[in-house]
Amino acid sequence: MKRRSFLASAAIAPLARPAIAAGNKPLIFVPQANLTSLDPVWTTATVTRNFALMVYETLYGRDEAFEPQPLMVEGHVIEDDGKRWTMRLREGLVWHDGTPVLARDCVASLQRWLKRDASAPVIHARVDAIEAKDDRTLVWRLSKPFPLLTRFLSKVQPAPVMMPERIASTVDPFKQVTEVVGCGPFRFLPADYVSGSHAAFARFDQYVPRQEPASYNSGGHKVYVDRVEWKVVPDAATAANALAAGEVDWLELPQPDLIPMLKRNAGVTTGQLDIYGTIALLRPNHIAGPTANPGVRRAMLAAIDQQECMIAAMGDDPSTWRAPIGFFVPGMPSATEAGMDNVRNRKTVDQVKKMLDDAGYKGDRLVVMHPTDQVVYNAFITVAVDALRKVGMNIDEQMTDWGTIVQRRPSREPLEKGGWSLFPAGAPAPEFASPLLSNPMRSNGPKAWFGWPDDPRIENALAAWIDADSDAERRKLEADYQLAAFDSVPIIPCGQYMPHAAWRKNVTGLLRGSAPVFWGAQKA
Amino acid sequence: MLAYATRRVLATIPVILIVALFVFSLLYIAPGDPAAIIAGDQATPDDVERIRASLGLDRPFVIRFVDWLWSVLQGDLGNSIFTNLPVSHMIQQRIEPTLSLMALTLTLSLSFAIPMGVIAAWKHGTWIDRLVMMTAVFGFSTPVFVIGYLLAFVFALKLDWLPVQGFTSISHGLLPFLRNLILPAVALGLVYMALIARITRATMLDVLSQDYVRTAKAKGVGQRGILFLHALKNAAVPIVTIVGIGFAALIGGAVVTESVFAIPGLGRLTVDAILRRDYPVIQGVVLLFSCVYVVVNLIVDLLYTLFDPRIRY
Repeated sequence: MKRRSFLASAAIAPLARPAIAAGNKPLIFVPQANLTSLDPVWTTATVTRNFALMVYETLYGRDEAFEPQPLMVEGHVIEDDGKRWTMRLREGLVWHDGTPVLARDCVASLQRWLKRDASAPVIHARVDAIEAKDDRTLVWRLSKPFPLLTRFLSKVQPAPVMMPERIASTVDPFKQVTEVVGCGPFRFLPADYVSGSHAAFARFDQYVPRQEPASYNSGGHKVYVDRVEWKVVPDAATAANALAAGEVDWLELPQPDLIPMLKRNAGVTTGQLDIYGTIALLRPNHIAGPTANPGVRRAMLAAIDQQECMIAAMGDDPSTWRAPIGFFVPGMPSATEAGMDNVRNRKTVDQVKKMLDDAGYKGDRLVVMHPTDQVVYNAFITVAVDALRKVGMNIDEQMTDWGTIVQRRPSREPLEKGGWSLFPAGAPAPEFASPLLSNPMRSNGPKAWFGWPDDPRIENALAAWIDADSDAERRKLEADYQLAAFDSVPIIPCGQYMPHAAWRKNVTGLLRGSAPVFWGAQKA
Repeated sequence: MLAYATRRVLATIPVILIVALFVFSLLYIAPGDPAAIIAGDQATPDDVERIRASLGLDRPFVIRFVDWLWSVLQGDLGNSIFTNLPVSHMIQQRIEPTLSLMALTLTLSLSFAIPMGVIAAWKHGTWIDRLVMMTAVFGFSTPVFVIGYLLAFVFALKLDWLPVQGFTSISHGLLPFLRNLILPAVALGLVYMALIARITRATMLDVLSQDYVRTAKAKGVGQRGILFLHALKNAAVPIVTIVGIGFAALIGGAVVTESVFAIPGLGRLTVDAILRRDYPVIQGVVLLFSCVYVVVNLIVDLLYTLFDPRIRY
């Protein structure tokens, strides 16, 4: 090589972008976690939900108010006294492999999802058959009217996403799909995917957006960037530094204590995109140890100050959290006042001690699984444990990592055989928008989520809510549901937190909702 | 020499077998049920049982170990629980950044540490010696992640010379490759450099007090010749030993460095797999690292005979 050409190539070389960043102004996004699974039916992982919103579509989507709206369908017709729903697919829907989206693909996708989703029993109890009448028409034959059907079809964790029949009918729902073929506005690029490092998506040119304005996961999903790249940056400080330096464009979930630093950077905007956020909760074990006693659980609920928990987790900016909360998301129609005194009127330490005495608590040990590797959980459970100690509870606080908790929480053993009493968790707040999809609140004993609460009052209120004829009746049932929950305490709510996202100033058009979506986003 | 080398190579086989047994046992020693992890939160006990049977977890331990070992010998490390990808493929995707980081770290460390140690010994008791030792103490006592953040703050955020994070393959050009890797390599290499510099200095001091060095001086051999031709070669055995032993520290440090600088290497793959309890990946990576460590020590053993032909075990 000649000296001059060597110098020229050496001068240009630093400007070369890595392969991941090839293309015209890719939007570089840092997701909250590594994308490990590509199957939103197989896993409830939040990062997979966000991935699925890009590449897959559902028959119905949720708008910013979390109401279901037609997405893949033009709409539906309800006949036969509410027992026959006919849904017509939009014209021009195409899979990413170039084949047209057919109704039978949707039937196969729904059948696969129903084998996996916790809401399946509710649907199976009402649905006799789902049929493809022709290429674009889906018919639901019901055993009784089911006005909430579209709420199930627009849920996102796990999501009833549509995929071609050749995949949906052949891949066991307990195994992950390995081929990603959706019909959403972005195509997944498998060649540019390395789990733990990066993933890339290209605009799907054959996607025809709806004409309505976009509202979260509904309306027209108009894409203005050719390519979106996800870059996994596990270290929060490094991710914030990369945004400040302009190496990435958008952080989904910057660590709360780094937000002030990002706010001071002239090139960065911070703000709330996830307007629902997460419900922080503690899950007591209802079948083993002192927490099996409902009186003890009520005393624990009374001992914990939700505001202190939220300040520890999110700081003192009240726009990023809400507390105290009951068992519904504040601001939603379901957010009843029934029983809210239990969390609003704080009891003194002596009063809580008396509650424990009355419940027959004799200083028995509680095993608290405390995950130190989860920033938010670590913060609020530290406060909660301190509050429980102050009222005289005997806490065996076991510091561990989240992976260990995931392994230990299925244990139904007594405490002396490795069982547990309490662990923290976070549930997407939309799950608490109504009784319908609130998995941690289900109180159907052995079939319930880890902790296995058993309260027929909650289950009966839920069943009646699903079949209720009017909103007024639902409001009454929500009050019954919440009063029962304050009595049996399936979970201990610790507040609702809505962390800020951060993005470069040249990125505009980001939509609000309960997950990051990339339609509407523009990069100057 | 050949007999010695053969003996050393054969000696590694039982070591690797023991490592393999330990690695395989990880899945069974650790609490929890891989089938339950795969099945997810909403699976019924029947679903979990079905997955357990499909994974062969209901078969006797010895049979599973032999089957696994046979698969490993054929290059099949199983599939990840979470990504469903072959572990060997995941390792292949991640090996370049880690190898690059280690190679650059090793190159930088040896290039600076050995001359530093030699010069410190030569200038024993002077300010140069004290400066080298102070640098070594700083390298020892400062955690890798602190050095990493400090370097990123100064050279990436304040001076804007280098990127904060990421990795660029060497196939995209040497300069982009070095721009991304230089800070992580310095952060990771500092402790390694300190270790080698201190050992080099101590060994050189010992060697420089030997009679043959005095004889060489009396014969009129120059300072450079004494230091680098006579003394350093005789001081090489402990230095090579510490380079080999330090390799383990390098592997451990790579885990932290890759996280701080968002380098998608094997270290991060290991941490992610441990946090998620992705046992096939943990098994694969631990087995790989163990084999690499065994091979590095084998090379060290073989190098001994090169530097000191008297060595025969």
